Amino acid sequence: MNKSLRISILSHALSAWLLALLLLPQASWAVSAVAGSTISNVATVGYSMGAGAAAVVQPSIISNTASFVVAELIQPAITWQDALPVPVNTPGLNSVLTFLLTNAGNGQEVFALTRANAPAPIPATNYVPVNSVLYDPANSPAGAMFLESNGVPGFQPGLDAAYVAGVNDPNLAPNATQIIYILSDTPALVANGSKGDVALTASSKTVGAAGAAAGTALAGLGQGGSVAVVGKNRAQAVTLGSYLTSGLSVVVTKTILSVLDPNGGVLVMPGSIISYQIVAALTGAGVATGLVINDPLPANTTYVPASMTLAGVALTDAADADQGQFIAASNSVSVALGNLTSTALTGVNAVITLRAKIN
Amino acid sequence: MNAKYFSCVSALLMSLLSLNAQAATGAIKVTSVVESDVEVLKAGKKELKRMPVSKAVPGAEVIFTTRFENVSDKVASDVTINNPIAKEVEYKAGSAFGADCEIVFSADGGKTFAAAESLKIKAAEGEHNALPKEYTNVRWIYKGQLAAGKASEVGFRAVIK
Repeated sequence: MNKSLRISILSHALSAWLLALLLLPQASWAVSAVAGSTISNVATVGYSMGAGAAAVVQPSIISNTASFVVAELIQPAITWQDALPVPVNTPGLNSVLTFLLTNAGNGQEVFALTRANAPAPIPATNYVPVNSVLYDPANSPAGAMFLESNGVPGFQPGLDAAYVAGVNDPNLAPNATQIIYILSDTPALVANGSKGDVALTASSKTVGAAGAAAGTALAGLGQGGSVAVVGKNRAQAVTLGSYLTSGLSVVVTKTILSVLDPNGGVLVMPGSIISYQIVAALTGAGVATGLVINDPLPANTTYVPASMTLAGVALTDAADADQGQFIAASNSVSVALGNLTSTALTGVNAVITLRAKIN
Repeated sequence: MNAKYFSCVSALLMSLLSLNAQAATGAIKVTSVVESDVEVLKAGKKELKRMPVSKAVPGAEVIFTTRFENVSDKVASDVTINNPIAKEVEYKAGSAFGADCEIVFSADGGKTFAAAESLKIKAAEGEHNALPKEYTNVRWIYKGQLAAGKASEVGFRAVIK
């Protein structure tokens, strides 16, 4: 019986060795049974004829080989790599979302990539990102996506290859991965704290696989001519990545409040006094530090002394403790707003008024 | 040459030659099958039906069964069934079955066997209880004798890696 056991171990060791040889080109990825490979089972039975002292050990019996072929499971997987929504300015350009595509199946597979900006249903407070106009003015479903190509983490313009559908679709061995960058622009005037989602879809390019019901068998379309079987995500992986408007922007607007001519009218003529209003509006989140509004007076005008106010409070013209000063050398008014915190969605405004006289 | 030694060697050679034989011959007929439980509709109700497997995907569960029958007219004893577990599958915990059998496992390619609860793996960092996925072989030791004409079966379930 010991001998028969040795035989069974030998045959097992032999088949294991052959298998190891077959798996060699798959490198260290092969954690799943490889599509197209055969799994075999052989049992060995040892026995004696007769019973008790009269029992005679017999040559062991080896069973037939029961085997089956490993079908190819088509199963892409995508994970969004940014830990948190990627902060963007509004308007903003070329903001990068990072995704990782993994071939979670057991056969070599090619995947087509598409992006959907703000896929329905769009939550009420969300905005709609657009493809980076720099890379894809057409805003197309396969546009402004890049494949990590140079081995350096993060998107490097000109070094990571632009994805071109049908040309450089990721062709991945089992368990192999591809980093994908999605670049988007953010429209102007989006409320702070708004989320913008982009969904990345990777679809198997095996004919008839993507979108088919899980378990659909596609004869001969798997690796090595094996049967391809559509995995639980219908041979399509879809994952959302998000942006979050959180940039701080300062918009300064200058308007003429009133004109008073020397005759008490509203004509613009030499000697007329013009009242200006400057509004510095903050939108977004965060703190604008050391914000200074510098307003050069128009040519041929003269600052009306002591006409400066900030939020309705008069400021002196001298460079002193208060926030305002008139700088004669540059004929300009300067108001140091310091650190302004924007908290409300609508932002925080600083309102400055001043007057100038037309020469 | 020692006749006993010769017969042992020839038995060894015979066994090797029969490796590829389709039907196992001898006093005991041995058949290995691989099957899976397939969900079928029967009278509008879902039920599991055991069907032969020709293809399967990673994650699928298959059942390896060895059927053995004493086709001689004498009683057989000391019956043991050895089954290496293919590298591409993982043994499913607690799945080995076989009436009137003591079931033991190996985690070292069949060098040593022990019951599931006492099977250890020696590693550089110390010894640990072998996990089902680390099993390499299953052995059934049939208790008692297999009467002439008697048939039985043993087997286990495994999940494709």
